[in-house]
Amino acid sequence: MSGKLILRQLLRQGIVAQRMPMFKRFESATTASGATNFNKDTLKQLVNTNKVVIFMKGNPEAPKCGFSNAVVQILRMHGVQYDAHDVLQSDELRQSIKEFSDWPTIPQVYINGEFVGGCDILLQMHQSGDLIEELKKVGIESILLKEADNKDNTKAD
Amino acid sequence: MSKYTSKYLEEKLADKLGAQYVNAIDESDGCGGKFSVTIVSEAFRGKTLLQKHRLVNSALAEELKEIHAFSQKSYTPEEWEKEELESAGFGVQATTAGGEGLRIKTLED
Repeated sequence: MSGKLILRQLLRQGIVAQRMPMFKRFESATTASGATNFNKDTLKQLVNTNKVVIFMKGNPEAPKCGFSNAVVQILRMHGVQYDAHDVLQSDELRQSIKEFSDWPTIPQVYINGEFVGGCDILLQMHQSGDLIEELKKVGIESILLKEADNKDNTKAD
Repeated sequence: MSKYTSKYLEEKLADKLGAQYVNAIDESDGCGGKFSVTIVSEAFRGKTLLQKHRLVNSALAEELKEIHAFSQKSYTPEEWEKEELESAGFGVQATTAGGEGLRIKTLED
């Protein structure tokens, strides 16, 4: 519990955001799948190419929408490696992923092939600590968790 | 451009989700393309975060085709109360005592 509280403080202060290494592959819609026809099967493959896969506007180095940028920043804070698909590269992907996920907006986040949500949900999971738990379930240890643990250990009272 | 207003969204959500509190903010300076919405409803009870958001999305399925930026916060009455306490600086512990104990009226202002 105390770890979680400390974590919340850290997050509020935003001090851990800076020095995270950037681990990510990102691919445009067409290079990632080699396909321009996004049927259910190709999309299913696409959301499973990495433990965390996102669909966004722009790419992680240059997001072209505030919501997509928020998702990128959150994942970076947790030190997560992920695949990103730029829906602006393919109007067909943009439409078909919305249908596939049954979700009307971009960005979209998948963990272990399962749809997690958009920007609001990821942000809320980040703030509540649930994101750390979800990442842990698929074998990803969030950098924020390590930071919080270190903090707990040094504060021996 | 979309034809929707904050008032329209509030009324629709109140109607469709039986929401007891809805606040929609038009963040597009009136052009109707960007909204941020807070919804408090019994309909969210027992639902996961994703399910809550899906419920709202489906209530606004038509509208979201035109509204290109949409942000939502969806709470049950209890979660909303807790949220209000936290943002008022009472910390996370304050509301957990079986729903009794500390109660602050938050839904009318």
